[in-house]
Amino acid sequence: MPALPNAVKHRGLSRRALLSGSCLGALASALLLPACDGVLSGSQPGAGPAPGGVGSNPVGGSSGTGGAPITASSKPEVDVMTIRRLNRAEYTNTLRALTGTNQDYGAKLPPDNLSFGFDNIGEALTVQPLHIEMFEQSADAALAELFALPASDARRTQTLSCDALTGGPACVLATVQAFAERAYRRPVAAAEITPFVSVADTFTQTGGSALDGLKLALKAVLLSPYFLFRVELDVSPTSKEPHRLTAYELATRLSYYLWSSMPDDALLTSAKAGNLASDAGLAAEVSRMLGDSKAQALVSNFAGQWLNLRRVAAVKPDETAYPNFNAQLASDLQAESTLFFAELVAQGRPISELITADFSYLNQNLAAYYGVTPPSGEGFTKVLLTGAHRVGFLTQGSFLTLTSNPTHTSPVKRGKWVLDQLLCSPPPPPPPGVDASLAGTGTPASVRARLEQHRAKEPCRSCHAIMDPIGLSFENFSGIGEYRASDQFGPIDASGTLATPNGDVTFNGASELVPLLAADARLAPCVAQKVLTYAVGRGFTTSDTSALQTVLNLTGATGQGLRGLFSSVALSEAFRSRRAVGE
Amino acid sequence: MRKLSVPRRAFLGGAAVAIALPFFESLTPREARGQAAAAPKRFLGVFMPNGFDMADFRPIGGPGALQLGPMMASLAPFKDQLLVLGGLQNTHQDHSTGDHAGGIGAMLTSRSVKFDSEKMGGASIDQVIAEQVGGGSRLKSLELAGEAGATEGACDSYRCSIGNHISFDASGTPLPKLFDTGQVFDRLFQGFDPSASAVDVARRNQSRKSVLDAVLAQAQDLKTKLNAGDNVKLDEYLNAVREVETRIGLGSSAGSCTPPIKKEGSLTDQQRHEVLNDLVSLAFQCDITRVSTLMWGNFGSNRNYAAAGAAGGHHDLSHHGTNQSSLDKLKMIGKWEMDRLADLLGKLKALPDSDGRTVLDNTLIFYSSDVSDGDAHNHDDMPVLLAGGGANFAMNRYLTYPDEPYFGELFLSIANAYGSTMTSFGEHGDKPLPGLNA
Repeated sequence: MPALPNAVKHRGLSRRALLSGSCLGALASALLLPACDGVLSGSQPGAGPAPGGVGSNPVGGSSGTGGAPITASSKPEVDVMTIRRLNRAEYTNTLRALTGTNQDYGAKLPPDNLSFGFDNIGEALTVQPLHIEMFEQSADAALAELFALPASDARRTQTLSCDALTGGPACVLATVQAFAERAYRRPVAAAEITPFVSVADTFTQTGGSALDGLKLALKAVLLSPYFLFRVELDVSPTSKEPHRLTAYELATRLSYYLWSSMPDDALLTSAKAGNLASDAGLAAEVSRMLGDSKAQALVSNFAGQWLNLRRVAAVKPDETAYPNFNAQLASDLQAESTLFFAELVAQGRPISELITADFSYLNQNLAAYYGVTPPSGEGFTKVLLTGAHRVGFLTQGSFLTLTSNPTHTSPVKRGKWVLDQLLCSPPPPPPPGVDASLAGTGTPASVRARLEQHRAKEPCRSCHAIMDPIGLSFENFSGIGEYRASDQFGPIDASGTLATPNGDVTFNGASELVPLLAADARLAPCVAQKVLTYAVGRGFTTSDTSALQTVLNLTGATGQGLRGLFSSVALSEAFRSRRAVGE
Repeated sequence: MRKLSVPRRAFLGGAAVAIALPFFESLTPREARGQAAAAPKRFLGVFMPNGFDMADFRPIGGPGALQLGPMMASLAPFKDQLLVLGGLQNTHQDHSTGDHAGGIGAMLTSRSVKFDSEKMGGASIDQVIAEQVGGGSRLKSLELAGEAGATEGACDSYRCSIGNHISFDASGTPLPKLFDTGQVFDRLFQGFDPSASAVDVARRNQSRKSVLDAVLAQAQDLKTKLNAGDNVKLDEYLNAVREVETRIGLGSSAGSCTPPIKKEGSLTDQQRHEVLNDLVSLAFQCDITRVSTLMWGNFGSNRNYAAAGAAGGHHDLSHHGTNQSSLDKLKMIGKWEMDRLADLLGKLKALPDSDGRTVLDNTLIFYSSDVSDGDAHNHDDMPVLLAGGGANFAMNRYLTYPDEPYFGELFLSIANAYGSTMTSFGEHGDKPLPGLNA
């Protein structure tokens, strides 16, 4: 078999290379994304009409048929979203709230599919036999825990309020109905759960104990599609007409958005009272929920995925290349960025402060790592980082380590991350058959020199001319984020040129690049787009353009930065409404 | 260094595992012993990420009788059970992006990946085989992961549901894979309770069924209220519940198989691979499942093979740019991978099957990657290795196909060998691959 060099033996290479020779061409169909056109121009989504005011939002019935039509003068566009299965984190939190268990049952589920960067996207969340097996086992285990609690324990009485041994069928029915109402996050008619009660009856009539029978009925609730999915119904399943969610559906969306868990009693009470129908009522509820400790889920699950913080604990730099790196450092770096983000939200700091902040949260271990005066005490403390070469998230060890290869930095990965996650202008992947190598066969050279060589080639140039300068500005930070003035090839050159709407701007190092990124008109819309995606559980589409603008306007009006953004998304029509896919 | 046969008690727990009797002696009715009962046919699909150093992967000496090169040296004891295929391609790449994800989605489906879809266009070969042969086992199939979690971010412009899975059901929906070896162990062996009476077991099974029946009825009612898009999801749920319910009580004879010692938690890559080899071998021998896939790395896996002498990230190194140091490391990684395959083959060969042969004799392993050369990202002249006697192919050969047929032809041949009467597989699989039966 003749072993032709693979790169030239590629069918149709020339045609494909031609097609993808321009980054712009490859992105022609992308939304709002003028990546790789050589200009970091603002791409503000077109300012559409603001979604209309307040439609009526009736309290939904037990298995109601969706909320009222939207009665606004200018009808907002609302794209289809698929009903969402509880993902791993949501399953854990919900089972904890429902049964009082402390176990992390979601961790037994296989990893949820990621789509659009998040693991709560309806279309991507599947149910396969393995899931059902795990749901069965977890339901059995959580209920066994519940039934083993002492009779006086509030976690037990929350569910088992009567004695199934002496209370007879009435007790079983009442217990299952009350449990189902909490599990389904809405009122439940007795007829809905009668078949589950029958399972218990049959079991006891054939010699089983009443308690074990009740357990089976409760298990059925935990395997029901109304529990495992966040079911939302359409006014007409065949109509494409957008309509408001019922109050209970909206409460459920809110709760999983802000808490990754089921609604609490206060939220359900608000829903029942119709308080969520008005902007003011909804905003008040959001404010209460953001102030609750359960809103930590927004940091873990939204920022944890948007900023990839979840991955930090698992990152494994090469031990020989980076002897200073260890599991404790990884864990501390993850904690730092998590606390940092939580602070920005809690204090309602401007969105751009994510990358421009002059402070972070450090413990003694990290103070040594960053080379700043260690805080007193054991835990994490807010520390000013002036004079420490650091500014905002992009110079935190978590980001710098995550975007490196095990043995060396990757300016390409760092630059690409900024374009993907902060500017929503992802460059397309390299075309097939392209020589994507950096390593030359000649004398070893600095990463900058090798990237320059690589960038000289087409079709690489158009995208790398934008990615590389961004990434190279962080070359003062090693593959585990330690500051360095030079590497084995000599002093670090972290200078570059960025194309902006006002022409090319030269910069030197991260401290000069970051203000340019912070001023980029794509930053705020991009962050809003990420939050909206996470909140509604589907990809961002053109129909969201006007919603996005409204969200940004509203966020600006709150003067509450990131906190205002989370609130504004909840008030958007995209969040409060749904529509069917049509015939 | 390598083992011709692996003592049973070496499995999973070293000397601590005590298996008093060979499994099938305890399981097979006394009067049937000594007779050759038909054994189930098994299939295992193995994905190794980022391609290979193809110069090193290819057998030496050209097509014909198999002559293993240095990468495959440790496979020598199994040479008569190996078939290396050269010149196959795995997907039609008529678009400008999508090399790794495209190759992963296509590896067992022989279909091109669709943009903006969480699904493939149809079932992977393992699931087609499971439909044929998996009816009687407790699990229809077993999907295993060698790397935790899933790659985040853009997966070559495709949805990451594709880039992180190799097995897809009949609707093209990815089948999730388990990483935690302790959890895999539990799934295979938990519930093993030799003291439970038949009445207890029947009662437990009846309870499970009655609960699943009740929720199925509720879901059927919900189906009438949902819109068409949401019903796609509810159908997934309904199918999954039905599949689980159908298999309640099946394969209970596997309970007579003595479970090995559980190994879980932090494992080196070598330990992890070998524990997975143990688990899949025993799952086959105990007839808990007949079909399995192992996805050793996720999309663009950047695993550090420092322990094999190849420090760096695998994906990073795979873009070798003909750099000799990178190529040397890729050779080491390839050799490491083949050594783990040798471990697997050794284990399967050491396990007696119910027909008096070995489990390896009744298993076919399909072993490949997402791309051929990791630097060129090409999908032609793919690395393809078949092992074991499950499909009755004529082994111990190196076949090359100058006309570059697609995996679909191979999968059609495999499906037919497992009893399927299908006449085409995936895309470009309209005729069987010639030459497999010599």
